[in-house]
Amino acid sequence: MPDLRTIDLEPAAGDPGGEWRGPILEVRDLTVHFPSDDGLVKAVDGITFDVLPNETLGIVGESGSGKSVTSMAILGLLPKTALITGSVKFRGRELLGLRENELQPLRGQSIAMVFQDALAALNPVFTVGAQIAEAIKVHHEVNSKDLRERGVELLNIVGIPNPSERFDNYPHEFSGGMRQRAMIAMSIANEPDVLIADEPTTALDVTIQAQVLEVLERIQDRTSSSILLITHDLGVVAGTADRVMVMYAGREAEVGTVEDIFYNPRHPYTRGLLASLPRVDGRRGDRLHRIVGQPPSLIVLPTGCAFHPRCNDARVPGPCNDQRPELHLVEDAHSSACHYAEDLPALSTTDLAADAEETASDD
Amino acid sequence: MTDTSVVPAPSPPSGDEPVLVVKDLVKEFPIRAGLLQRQVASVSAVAGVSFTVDRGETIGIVGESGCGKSTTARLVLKLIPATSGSVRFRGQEVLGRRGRDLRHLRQRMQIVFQDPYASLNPRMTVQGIVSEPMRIHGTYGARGPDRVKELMTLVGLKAEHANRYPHEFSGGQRQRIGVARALSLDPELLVLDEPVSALDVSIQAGVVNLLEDLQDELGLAYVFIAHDLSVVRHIADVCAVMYLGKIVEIGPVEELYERPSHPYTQALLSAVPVPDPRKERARRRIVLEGDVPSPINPPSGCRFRTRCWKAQDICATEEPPLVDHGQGHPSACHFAEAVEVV
Repeated sequence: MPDLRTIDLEPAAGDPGGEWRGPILEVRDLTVHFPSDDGLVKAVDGITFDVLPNETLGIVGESGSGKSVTSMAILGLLPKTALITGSVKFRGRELLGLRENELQPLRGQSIAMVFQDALAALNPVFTVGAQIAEAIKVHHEVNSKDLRERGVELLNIVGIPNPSERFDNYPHEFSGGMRQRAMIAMSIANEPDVLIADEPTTALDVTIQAQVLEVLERIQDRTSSSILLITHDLGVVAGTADRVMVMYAGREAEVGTVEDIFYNPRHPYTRGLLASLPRVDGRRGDRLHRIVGQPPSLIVLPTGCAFHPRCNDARVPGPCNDQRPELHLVEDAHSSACHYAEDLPALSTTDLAADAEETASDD
Repeated sequence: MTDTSVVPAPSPPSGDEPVLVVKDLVKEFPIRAGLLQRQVASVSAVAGVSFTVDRGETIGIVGESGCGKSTTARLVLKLIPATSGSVRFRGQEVLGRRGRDLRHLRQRMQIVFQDPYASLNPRMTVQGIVSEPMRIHGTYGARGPDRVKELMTLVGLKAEHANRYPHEFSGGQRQRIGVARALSLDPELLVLDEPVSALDVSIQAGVVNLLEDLQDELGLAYVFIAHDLSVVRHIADVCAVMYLGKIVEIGPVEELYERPSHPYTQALLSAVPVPDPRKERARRRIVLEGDVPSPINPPSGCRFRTRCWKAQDICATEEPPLVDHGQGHPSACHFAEAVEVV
């Protein structure tokens, strides 16, 4: 079976010098396993996706679905004990297996990362300005006057008031939202091709989240970089992503355009997630859909489809519990890893909510 | 049990009397400094909050970090003493009470905490955790073990799991244990402090549904503290929006969400993402400038004026009263005007 998981673009030509036409980032059959006392933890279990130039790809999933581990693997930030196989190519160049000193020039320069917890990610004993300057100095030889100028400019871009004074502040003098914006300033200092934002707004209040999302949007317009937005918040994805990948238990459940995923989801997990969301534009009294059970242990995954014990549409015994469903195309650029993706009825969230089962007990 | 002589037991639910009446509640935390630890300033955490909750009703209190919503929750139960104001539970003042007297009143008002990992003692079995309130109040007795089983079933857990320890349960199940513990004394009022914030969405839905069922079944009154406006829209009857220690707008949920009239409520609602790409991209988002000012030295007049796009001179000099400006519910803004934002 041909690989249908990705959008077919130009064949990967190994010409890093010229204008790169293919996907900026190609991830193929990536697995990340961690040995533990209880057995092998399969945090990421074979995922394949592309990040296209100037797009925002949203990766959605609940705790433990492997979304953060995926991003760490791309940048080579995982501990040495992690067992990584597969392939991650940046502009056609393989990243997995590169040595530290070969990866270093890429980090921050080509692929940069915005972490969730800005307070933990910033060094408390250096000024914010010094840390931004460092991000530039690592990759460029710049004199200190220009460094400062560039740093102030970056703080200005991310919307920090009085940037030239704030440049000399320490992280503790910044509020939560400002710290997150300072982090973004650091990550875009070298105008990277790919910005990986790992839950960039999760720790923030909604009005501050709105500010940060606006900054990310503005930056993308300015630098035309690609953004890999990792989040558990479907609302954030709805507003910012071009394409969405839904992850469950270390694999892709569904990949498609944002419209495919929200208006025509073809995986029961995606459908369950959407129906379980209380909505600010919803009606009081609507019953929330509840996905029964809880996410599986990553050490002993259920046989067949990892989601089948929680799935209302599972046919057990049958393919759902003895055959692992592969991600396959269900329509143009929209693929699902469900045996019965094509048979699922058209979506109506009210229907899902109506048959919300209340057997309770094991969430 | 000798303390029944001290105060009459809270009267059983009767008529239209509200379960909880909070009036002009104020909490200031002192800031001390220097060798003598003299008070040099104070943090105005809650600055005159008033609301009532009826039987079977849910009031949602929403706001961002530091707005005083969790402090309000703790003040209601007198987990921390208030600076001034009044909290009447079933007509009886809570704030002046101490010791046994207070404990007696607290039987019928319980709290569920945010973090299901920190709020359950890891060295006690679920049986011990759920029965602890009954032991404290001397109502455990011979029927106690049955009552624990009954509570476990009520919150959707298996009764035979009562001998397990908290670490053997998932986050959602732990939160159910917290709810079972809070229900063990047949309370009339539950204060829920961000009860679903720590849970994944698919799990959150189950706990929200459980809370709704319990309310229908037991006629409980809820004070539901949350920063997630979507959950509050789903579960609450009345919603109060707090900013820097004050309620800026309060009203029936439908009305407040459909026609918010305070600029802060409008900004807050417009910032909540809607999981619907076409709708989300078509919405106009009100992005507020800057951050919440320090509660140590809050702005004069209207506390929101420093971030408000409608602010005029009057906002700095005169504090806007929380009154109905013709929208059908009170709003603390000189220029209140209903706008549709969601």
